[in-house]
Formats: sequence, C-alpha cells, structure tokens
Amino acid sequence: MKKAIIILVIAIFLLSLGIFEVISVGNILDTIKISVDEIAPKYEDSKDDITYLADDVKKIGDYWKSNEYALCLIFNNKDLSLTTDSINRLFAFTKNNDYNNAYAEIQQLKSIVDKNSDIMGFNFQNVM
Amino acid sequence: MTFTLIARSIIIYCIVLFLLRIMGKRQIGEMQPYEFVITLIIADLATVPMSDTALPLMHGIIPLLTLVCVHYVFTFIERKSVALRKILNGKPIILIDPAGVNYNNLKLCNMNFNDLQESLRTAGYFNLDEILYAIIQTNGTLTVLPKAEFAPLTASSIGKSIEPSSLPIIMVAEGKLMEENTKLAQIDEKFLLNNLKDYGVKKIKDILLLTLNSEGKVYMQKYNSKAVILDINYHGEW
Repeated sequence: MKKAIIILVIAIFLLSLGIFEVISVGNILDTIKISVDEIAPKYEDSKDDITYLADDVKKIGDYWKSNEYALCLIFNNKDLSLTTDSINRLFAFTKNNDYNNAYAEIQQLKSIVDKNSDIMGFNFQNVM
Repeated sequence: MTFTLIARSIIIYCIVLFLLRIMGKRQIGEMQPYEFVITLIIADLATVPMSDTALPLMHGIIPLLTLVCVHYVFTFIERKSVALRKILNGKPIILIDPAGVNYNNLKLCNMNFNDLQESLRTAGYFNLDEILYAIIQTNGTLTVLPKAEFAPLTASSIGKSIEPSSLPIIMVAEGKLMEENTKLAQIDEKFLLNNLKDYGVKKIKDILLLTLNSEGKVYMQKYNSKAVILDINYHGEW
C-alpha cells in the first residue's frame, strides 16, 4: 500500500510537471514568438533607421531573461543560450543601426524561436 | 562548476537509491528480464545528467521516475495476470529430466553442454547421474533436484528427531538495543542485563552483537572478545 502511494505521488508529480511545462513554459515561448513576429516586419519597413526598434528588442530580451529560471528546468542550456545570444546580437546591431546584420539576425531569431516551440510540443516527430 | 557537479551527483545518487529501494530487493539480487532491463537503463540515465551540466537535471529525473512507475505497473499486472507473466518473464525450462539431458530445451536456451556443466558445477553437482531434474528459472539461475539417493541427509530421512529450529533475532548490535526486536521477543534491557551479568556484561554498550532465539539460545560477542554461546531461561513465541 505504501509503495502504491509513493508511485501515485510520483505519477502526480510527473503529470503536474507536464502541465506546468505546457502552461507556463508554453506561455513564455508563445509570448516571445508573438513579440518576435511583431517586430520582424518593422525591420523590413525601416531600412534607413532601425535604432528606434532597440527598445522593443530590449523588452524582448528582458522578458526572456526574467523567465529563464523556468526555461532552464526544461531546456538544454546550450539551446537557451542560442536564443539569449541571438537577442543580444540583435540588440547590438539595432542600436548601431547595422541594418544588414540586424535583418539577418531577426530572421535567425525567428527560426530559433520557432524551433523552441517545436521542441516543446508533444507529437510523433518529437517522440521519434 | 565543481559545486554544481557535486550537487547534481548527490541529487541523482539519492534519487536512484530511493528508486531502487521502492522497486524492491530483487533489483539487487536475482532479476527477471524486465527488471534487469530497467536496472541497466537506470544506471545509464543516472550518469548522463550527473556530468553534463548543459542538460537540465529534469532530463534525467523525469525518465527515472517514469521508469519506476512503469515498473510498478508491470509488476502489479504481472502479479494478477499469468499470461502477462509468461510474456514478460518466460517460463522455467527443464534441461535435465529422468530421461537425461533435454537437448531441444538446451538449444532453446541458447546453451551448450559446456554452459550446462558450468551451471551444474556452480550449483554443486559434478555428476549428471546424481540429477533427477535441472531446471533453468526465468531469472536465469539453474535449480537442481537431486535423485533421492544423492540428496543431502536430513534428520527425518534417518529417523532422528531434533530440536525444532528457531530464528535468531538480533537484540543488540554495536552497543545499541534493537527496540523493535526486543518488543517482538517481549523482553527489555533489564532482562538482558540480569541474564548476562554472570558473563561480565554491565551495560548494553559493552556488547558488539547479541542474538537470541525463541529457545533461549544466545550468541553474544562483546567488543574485543571472543563470541560465546549461552542458554538463558527464556521461551519466546515467534
């Protein structure tokens, strides 16, 4: 009986962790994805001066940094650092009005953020 | 980094220890095939997050906990279902019967005669003509039923009656009274000291090991002394 209770507790813990991941981590990744999708077209529209986008990029970076504690429970540190580094580079290029590099970096960041969301999902491809 | 590695190692070690405890003693001793698999996998799962700090600890803990739950479910179903027991564990196979070596079964077990001989010798049997049955169990061990004329003698086989056997229980170990066992035996520290004072025992702390069986036979060893066997006036019910 004692063992059954322990197993039940473990099963509930695993289920809760899964639900926490879907709700909390999923929300964080969705928010980042939405923010990056919103900011990306602005780079295409403003080839002459992109410095005004630095604040938006900083907001994305701050949001990511503040939620890293939840993400590092689930994500490999190397995958997390890819996103962090990309955001940091994008901020630097944007602040320096380096359009070409900033544009390339925002595309890179979009694909990294999409990849993070794909990794999170529970589907056949991820299981295999 | 060093402290991180130390902390991760301790956490994983404690979790694996806890999991092996709840999976039962058979994980350490003889194992059924599905238990053997899980033990192998647990060992591997535990080491990867221990040393790779890029991996979240959860990437090791979640699979470990999942496997334990799966193991428990399998064990539970296996207890209730004979069919699943056969699928998971297989069934015992007779290698030697009164007619001799069952060659078909030996091939089924992927064994040759050298393997059989080795297993028989490990079981303590050097002559095939002494063996009535040799059966390979589902956990891989070979058990042997010798022919009656080669079976070890017992008191009943030679018509002798002997004292009934009794399980000795540890009452004192390393100077400490085993309270659960003394409660079982319905004795206390005073009883022990009263009966042992003639043997130079003044305090329980003086005793390295003391066992008592239900017929009052005591095995006692004090620190830095030889063991002695005593009889005390005691009769227990266990």
